[in-house]
Amino acid sequence: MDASLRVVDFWKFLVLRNPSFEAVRQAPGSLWLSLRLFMLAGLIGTIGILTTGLAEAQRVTVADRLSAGAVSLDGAAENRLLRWTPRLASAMTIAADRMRQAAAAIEAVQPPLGSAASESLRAVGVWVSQPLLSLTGWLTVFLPLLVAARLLGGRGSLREQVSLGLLAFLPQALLFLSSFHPEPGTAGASVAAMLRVGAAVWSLAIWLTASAVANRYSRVQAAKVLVATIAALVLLTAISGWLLDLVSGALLSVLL
Amino acid sequence: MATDLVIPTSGNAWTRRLRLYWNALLLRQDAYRDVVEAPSPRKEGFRLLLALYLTVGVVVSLGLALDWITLPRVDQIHAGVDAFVFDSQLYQSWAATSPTLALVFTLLYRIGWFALTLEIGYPTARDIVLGPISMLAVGLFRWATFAIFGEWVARRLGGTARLHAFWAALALAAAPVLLRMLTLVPGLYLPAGLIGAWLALTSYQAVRATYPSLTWRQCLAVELWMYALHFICIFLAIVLGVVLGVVLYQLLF
Repeated sequence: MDASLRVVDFWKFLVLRNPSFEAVRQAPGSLWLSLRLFMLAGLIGTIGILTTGLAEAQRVTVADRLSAGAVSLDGAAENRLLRWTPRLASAMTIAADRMRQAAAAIEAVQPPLGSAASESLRAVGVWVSQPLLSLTGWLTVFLPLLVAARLLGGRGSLREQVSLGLLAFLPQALLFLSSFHPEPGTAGASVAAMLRVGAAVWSLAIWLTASAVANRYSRVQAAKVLVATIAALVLLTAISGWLLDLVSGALLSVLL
Repeated sequence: MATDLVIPTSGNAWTRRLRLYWNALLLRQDAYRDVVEAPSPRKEGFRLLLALYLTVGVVVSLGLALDWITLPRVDQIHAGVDAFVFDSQLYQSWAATSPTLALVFTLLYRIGWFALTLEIGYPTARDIVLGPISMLAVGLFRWATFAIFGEWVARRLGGTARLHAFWAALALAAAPVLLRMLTLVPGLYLPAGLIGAWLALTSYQAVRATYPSLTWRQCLAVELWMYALHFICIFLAIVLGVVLGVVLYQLLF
């Protein structure tokens, strides 16, 4: 039995070691470990967002758009067709100049802390947000799974199920390459795609083990829970879509 | 396990309550044991919420202040874009030939800016000062409605517990609000869905801890009813507010 699991023991979950999962199930404070591992995997998997954020100046988005608009307008004004409408071309050139002026005025506005320090701090903030966004998405899928597991004979408590279920996110650290958005068609993009598939399959394998340990049933039963939940969610989505269509159709026929 | 936690019994009342919240955030069922057995559950619940929201409120205010110093002054950008739009020949000709069109455009433009400010989440001095107070008010409202409806439904389903014990447990179930402290990092986006989903988990635990005689399905039913009645209550409050406003308008004008 693993009596003292720490963050550095993450590999024990990746290689599906049952005693490690069992240790997480039994320790009352194990959710803290799972949450830290989840955050760590999320941060590694989105490292590209940090590097992009630090490299790009997010502050000048509005100014950038205005500058880009000015360039487009200038390009359009020089179009051959517009030579026959000199007044329109002249108006477009004036508008492009004004857009450049506005862009310059916006760029001149600095945050009180200074541009570089502010952008770096905010880039870190955006990066740290990524695992939190993933956790939200994870929980959205996870909550119906919890109910389904209990309905289909699972005996895991809420803490046990959440602590173990979060560990299935660990392989998502492999998405680090995708977070750099490699150019389509390059070797980087192919490897990133393979890693995405690998991460999904690996996460599924960990989830099956985690669910089996948490609920004291077999992996086959865990697979049944997963299939039943997906089927129920698909059915629910279809029914709610049909109902929404019915109600909106009725409303429109009354209003129009 | 190295990460194991202990239910706090020492320290001053404030830190003890915050440690209880930490344990509740980590879905520890035993965190609810002491508060459910408190001699005056509603008072204990109120004290718990006060400790939580005041602590989180101070940190959120600091986070908003940090946001303010790391964002360019939106009002200055606004002035630059205003000059670009309203000094343009197109707008001037509109204003001269078709004032109504210019007015509609101005209105839409102002709404657009307002929406953009909300989207960016640019904090104002008012947000920094009033943010924690509004958080506390919303938290107390949610606590009261959830507790009233939850206790009523749980008792109807056969749950047995001391009167108002659920109030204390539900106050502790507000633990996911602690996550708001992460907004101290400028630029960090904390999804409302995360707090909402985690609140659903802690609220379920609060029901379980208060009414151990109920089965897990009954506890889930209590929670779902509690949420449904809470939202119906908000919806009715909005409808009644509109009706009252219309009636008052009719009477006065």
